Amino acid sequence: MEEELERKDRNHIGEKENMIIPVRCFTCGKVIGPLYEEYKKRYEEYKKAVEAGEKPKETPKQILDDLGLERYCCRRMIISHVDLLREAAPYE
Amino acid sequence: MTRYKCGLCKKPVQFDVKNIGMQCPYCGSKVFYKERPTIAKRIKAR
Amino acid sequence: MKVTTLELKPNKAVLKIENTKPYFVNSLRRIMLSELPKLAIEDVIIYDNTTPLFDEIIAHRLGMIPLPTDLKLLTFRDQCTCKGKGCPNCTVRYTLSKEGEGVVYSGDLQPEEKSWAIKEDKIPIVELTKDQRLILEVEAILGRGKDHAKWQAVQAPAYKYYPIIEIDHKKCDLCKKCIEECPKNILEIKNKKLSVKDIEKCTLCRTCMDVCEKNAITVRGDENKFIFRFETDGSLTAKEALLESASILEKKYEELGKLLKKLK
Repeated sequence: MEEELERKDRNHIGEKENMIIPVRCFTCGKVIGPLYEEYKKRYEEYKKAVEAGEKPKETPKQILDDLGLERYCCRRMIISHVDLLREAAPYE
Repeated sequence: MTRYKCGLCKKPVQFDVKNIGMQCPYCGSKVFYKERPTIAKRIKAR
Repeated sequence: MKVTTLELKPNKAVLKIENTKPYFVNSLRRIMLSELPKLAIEDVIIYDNTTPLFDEIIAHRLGMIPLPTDLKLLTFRDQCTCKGKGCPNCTVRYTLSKEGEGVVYSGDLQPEEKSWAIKEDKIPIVELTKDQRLILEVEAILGRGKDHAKWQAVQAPAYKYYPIIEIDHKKCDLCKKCIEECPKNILEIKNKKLSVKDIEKCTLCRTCMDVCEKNAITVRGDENKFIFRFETDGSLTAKEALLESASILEKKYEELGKLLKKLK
């Protein structure tokens, strides 16, 4: 039930353009498409470590720095993105 | 006759243009997708 | 004029330009933004698309992919001998065909010739579930940044005055307030004297000036010296982009000079 509600809410915001990570940063035009998958993978590791009460290997700040995102316009592209494409996948 | 795809059971169905009130003969659903024509579509990447 | 490279990577450059004025550095910056040619996908011919994204959105995403550009091999389509029909001298073609589960990446675009293979091959275009299909063909042509942002090879070109930080050691009482407040952390105390670690990092924000009660520190920019930095999207290297921009600027001035000579 809770899951159902959450999905409904998210569908509300989901616009087709923003369902998948944009190819470039909206503001400066830097290519950020390929970085999202890696960020997500490393962020999950960070989250797992924090939840288990351990000291994480790297913080989200360090991940973004390591990916070469120095301007805050590119950083927000990665941080604020919600991947919704899978929700719309059954519809053509 | 126009070809459609049923939105629920995904089976291809056909309807006459004159037909009023469409319903899938297999599952009774009333949601349909029109099939994409087989012509190449040329658009600008902008 | 004197130019020194402070940093030169394939996709990024930082230069120090001395003995010049802002208008000159700015004209170079604007050439990079709007005049520098680059290859980008312009036409998309879609044969089949059963993905959750619209044709137009896929086409737009394809347009944003940086393609490796060799400016010596290509001409603009409207200046080409084929008169805009699209020949190998002005057009690069790619095909894409993918089906079934998985992500379509920019690397799935197959070039006609291997030399045009996309280097940035991990950009997700769309995600396919079972039985979904994407078949298309694209044509890439040269263009300029002033026509569409997809033809803008250089990202975030910017310049700033070379910072000058003057510290009056007689007034300074080593209160360390400026060291704490500096957002770039470039101030330190060395041999019981306030000194600057890396002056090029200074953003001329003057927070240290505001926080200093004794007015011992002044920050200003050198109006004849600049730090110029820019990044490229990978279609051209930073060096290529800079040299090409400079030669475009040179040609423009030559043209202007010729026109001025004709005047009486």
